[in-house]
Amino acid sequence: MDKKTLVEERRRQEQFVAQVQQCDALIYSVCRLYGCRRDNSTEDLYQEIVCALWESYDSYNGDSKFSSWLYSVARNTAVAYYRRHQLRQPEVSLTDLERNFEDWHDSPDPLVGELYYLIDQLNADDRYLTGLYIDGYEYDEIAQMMNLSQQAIRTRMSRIKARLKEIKDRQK
Amino acid sequence: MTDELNLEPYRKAWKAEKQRLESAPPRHTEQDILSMLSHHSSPKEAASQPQQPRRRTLPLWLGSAAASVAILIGVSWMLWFRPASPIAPPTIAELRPHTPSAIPTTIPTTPISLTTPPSPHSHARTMQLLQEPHRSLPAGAFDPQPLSDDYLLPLEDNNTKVVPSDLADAKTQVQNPPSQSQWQSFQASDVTNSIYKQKTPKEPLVRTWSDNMSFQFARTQVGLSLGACHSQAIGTQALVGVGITRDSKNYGAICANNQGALYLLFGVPSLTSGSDSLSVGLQYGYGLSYRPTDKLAIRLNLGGYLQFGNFDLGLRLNTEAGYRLNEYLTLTASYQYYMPGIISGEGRHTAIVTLGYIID
Repeated sequence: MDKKTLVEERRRQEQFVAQVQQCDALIYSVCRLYGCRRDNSTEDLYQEIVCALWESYDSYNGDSKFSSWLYSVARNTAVAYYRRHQLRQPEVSLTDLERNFEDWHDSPDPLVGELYYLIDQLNADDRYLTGLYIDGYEYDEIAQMMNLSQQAIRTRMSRIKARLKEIKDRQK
Repeated sequence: MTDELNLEPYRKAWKAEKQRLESAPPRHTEQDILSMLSHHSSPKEAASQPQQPRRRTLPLWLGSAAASVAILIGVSWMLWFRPASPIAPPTIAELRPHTPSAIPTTIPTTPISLTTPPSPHSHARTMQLLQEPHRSLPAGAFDPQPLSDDYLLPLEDNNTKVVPSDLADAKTQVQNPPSQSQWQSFQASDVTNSIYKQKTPKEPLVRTWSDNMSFQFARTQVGLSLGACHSQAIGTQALVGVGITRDSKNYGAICANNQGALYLLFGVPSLTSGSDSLSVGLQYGYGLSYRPTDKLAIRLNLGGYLQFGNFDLGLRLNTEAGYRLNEYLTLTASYQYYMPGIISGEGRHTAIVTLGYIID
């Protein structure tokens, strides 16, 4: 690599780091909604997402907002990460969880904490689907993203909602 | 009161949370992010280098090598321990009339007409052969022996018994020799059936142990399987494997998929998949078998599976159809549906074709 290329590479890296740093909180939100469990995996996943973004940085051509591109890469990385680390964990009650919330959850809204707890009970596919729904996507968009029919998404979502209701009732 | 959780409040809460997070100050400095990348190649370097799989699975070559070694072991074992062919011509010792195996087990390929008297030429030739010292038959070779049930013992194997009514039929046949066309018919069907009967244990309708098709046709069989497995989580995987079954029990199988994962399985009908790491599994099943002909068998099975790599436990539904190609080879096609497991929560479809080699 000649000096000019090195300088160019360095400049690109600095640009990338600055852009990623601006979206730092967005990456955290992806980690929490799609990939993290009740453990200390947030930092691991954060690093994995940053590396995945850097690996595919060349594919970002500036047509869309950087944050949109980042969100989509980060989400896929988080889902894959969750799938790999999908291990059975002991049940933790919502009350116990709330006591330790400060470690990994600083939202002032208790509903957000409850949401983290609820989606943490789902398997990888269901969590991905629920994450997209919570993220504001409509059924037809989710169907397109997951390569499934809209009816299949509705059915699965209905099943997930029933399951979440059951979990929540159990915690009361 | 509805049975589903209303997620709308969570949607709104998350929207607000996302906005809050986006406006929050970053937790990582530029230096932190640079240090995360320090062990990572640049996109240009990464693009110029071949992609390394990030999954912690065994390399494909190792899976293929293990499958090859298993095949070699299986073939060697077959070559060393395979019993003599049941249709091999009988030796002189086997033909001694004072032993129970006096009746030859093969039928001459040229039909013999029992109604035609022997020609003088052939009689003279026979006498000449008997007078030659090196061709003389053992003493007592033509001593008349009473026809008893003992004669039929060699054919009695693996639940194939010749009942007295068969004996009566045989005696009737000797008294009323069949025509040439009847002989040909006998050669074409009965001999074939007798070979299969000797090698085919009787199959109970309901089995409660293993669920492998192979013993429908044999006691011991080595199978080479090719198949595909599909689920939403893993996509579609191609599979290859070898397995050994004996006396209705699966002695185990070793399988590999196209993503380099290796599977060791016990009590499994040859092949399964679904995990993305080294996996050891157990499967048991109960089911119904039906064999409409000696060559065709169908089986429907319901069983459980336990997978240790990426632990999972669930039920599976398995249906198989097996066809006996010839004396040594069987072909089995099976489809298996793994119902959503306790951990994975998703279904898997597996289709497998197995070529089996019958050892005994």
